[in-house]
Amino acid sequence: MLSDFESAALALSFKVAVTATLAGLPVALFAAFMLARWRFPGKTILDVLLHIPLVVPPVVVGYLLLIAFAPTGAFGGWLQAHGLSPAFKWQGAALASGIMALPLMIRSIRQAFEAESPAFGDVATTLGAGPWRRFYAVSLPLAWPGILSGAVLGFARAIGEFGATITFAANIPGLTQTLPLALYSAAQSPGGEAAAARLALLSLIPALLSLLISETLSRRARKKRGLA
Amino acid sequence: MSAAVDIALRWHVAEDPGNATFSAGGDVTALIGPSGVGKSTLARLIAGLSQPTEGHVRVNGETLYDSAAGVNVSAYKRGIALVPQDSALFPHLSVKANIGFGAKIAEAEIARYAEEAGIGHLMDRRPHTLSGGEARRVAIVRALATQPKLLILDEPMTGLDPVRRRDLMTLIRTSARLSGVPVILITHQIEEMLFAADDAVLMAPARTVTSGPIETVLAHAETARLLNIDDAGSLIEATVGGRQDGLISCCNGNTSLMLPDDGEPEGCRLRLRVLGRDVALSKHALEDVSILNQIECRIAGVTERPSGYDIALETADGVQLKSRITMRSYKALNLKEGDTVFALIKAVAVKEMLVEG
Repeated sequence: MLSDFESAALALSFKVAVTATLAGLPVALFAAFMLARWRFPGKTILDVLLHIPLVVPPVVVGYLLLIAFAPTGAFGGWLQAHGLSPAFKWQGAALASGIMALPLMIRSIRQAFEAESPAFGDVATTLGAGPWRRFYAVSLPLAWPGILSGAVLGFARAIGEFGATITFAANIPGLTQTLPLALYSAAQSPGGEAAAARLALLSLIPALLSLLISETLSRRARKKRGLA
Repeated sequence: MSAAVDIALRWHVAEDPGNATFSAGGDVTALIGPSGVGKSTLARLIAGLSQPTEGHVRVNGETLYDSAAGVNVSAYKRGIALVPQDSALFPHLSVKANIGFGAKIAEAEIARYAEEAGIGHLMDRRPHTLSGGEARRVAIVRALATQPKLLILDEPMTGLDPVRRRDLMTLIRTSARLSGVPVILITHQIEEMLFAADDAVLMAPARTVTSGPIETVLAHAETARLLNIDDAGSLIEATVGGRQDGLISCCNGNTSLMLPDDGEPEGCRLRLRVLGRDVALSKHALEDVSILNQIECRIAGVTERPSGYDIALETADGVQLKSRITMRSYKALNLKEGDTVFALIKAVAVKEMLVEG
């Protein structure tokens, strides 16, 4: 049904987006919790920095990554020497799309943390729960629907990532050519219209699937708490 | 032995300064005052959820906060359980898991507490399916299960109907007595103080006024004004003696009062509240009258009011009563301090509360 070329792009897209989401989630959780609960100097600056991928052209993010990981630089050179440089590899595509997805995840999760009534944390405290237990036993489960929708948003953003990925990881079939890049290539090549249309349809699958899963899980969580 | 709870705090929370000093030794101490005077703020300070500017918090002789000595135990290590007004049950956990959240006692013990509180059948339910009264009970059991050094209940009776209110007051008293955990009960209702507490702390805006046994606090000059009560009445501790003709007789020394029999077991302790306006006076014992309680007293004091008098009465064995009469009656009876009179109290006018079964 699918050509080798198409299934490779689909599988790669999944691998890249899942990695980007899973690796980005802890970062997003930490950043969102920090922004929602803590007060510290430089909070506004951090907030702005974390939102940069949302507002600058994705190509710029890819370009900045290229510079940061350039083999001529100290960091990039060290990575290169140890064979760890992500540039032009699928890991690079995951990194680029993860960074692009991060602000969306942070926004959604932060809202969930901010929506939690402080009374729960206070009660947990007087019941003997320290900060760490309050986080994983109270805040985290209460924010679960928001975390879920953040993850789905991030996944959808990552799987559709184009500009940063093509700039940082290039468009190498089977290696860094995700669905959007494959679609782009097909649309660019003469006589590729049919392939482009098939790839466009194919792109709907992961997007719809992730939405469906998240809606189901989130509805179940809300129902348990009497919110639905 | 030091008092169970010893507090002296000065604070400045959210622009509002305040200070409080009190110690309490009874099972249940009411922290009473009008709404908005800072009772909840004080509770948060004691629990360590807000930071005072100076003072100390000692519970059972253990110092949990002392600005002079530089002691400030973290809130989660203080062992002071604070049950907020809205119960704050964790919505993502079942009743059982809520109670288990900070529990330091065995499952069997938890089950016993739950049975006692009448929530044993609710263990698998979710918090949003509980009624307000059930949620309060779960929150109280959840707090007691952590074996706290002190339990603070913030307006636990708010929004409950009178029957549930009474049940909950009984539960609070019983749990305090059985668990040995001192309880601070925050309230703005004098009934709750009179029926559920042994000691009380009266709070005015941003300061505590007085503290001590509830009779003392009830009699304090500022109590009536602060709580906006016109007729505080008097409080009598009594024990159920015998029963006859649908009545029980409740005794305090040689003073006895007849009350409607609601099935109270003989020998149980009751707290009776008699309002001043429900007490009539007569110079002689009356016959052919439906009023069952005629108590011989001495007039201990007379206070003039805008349209009448409050007469303080005392029986031979020290039971105190108050009678509120009009100017005309006062003149007609020609009353003065030291006179012997009979206090006439209708059985149905006495409000009672079971203290100990």
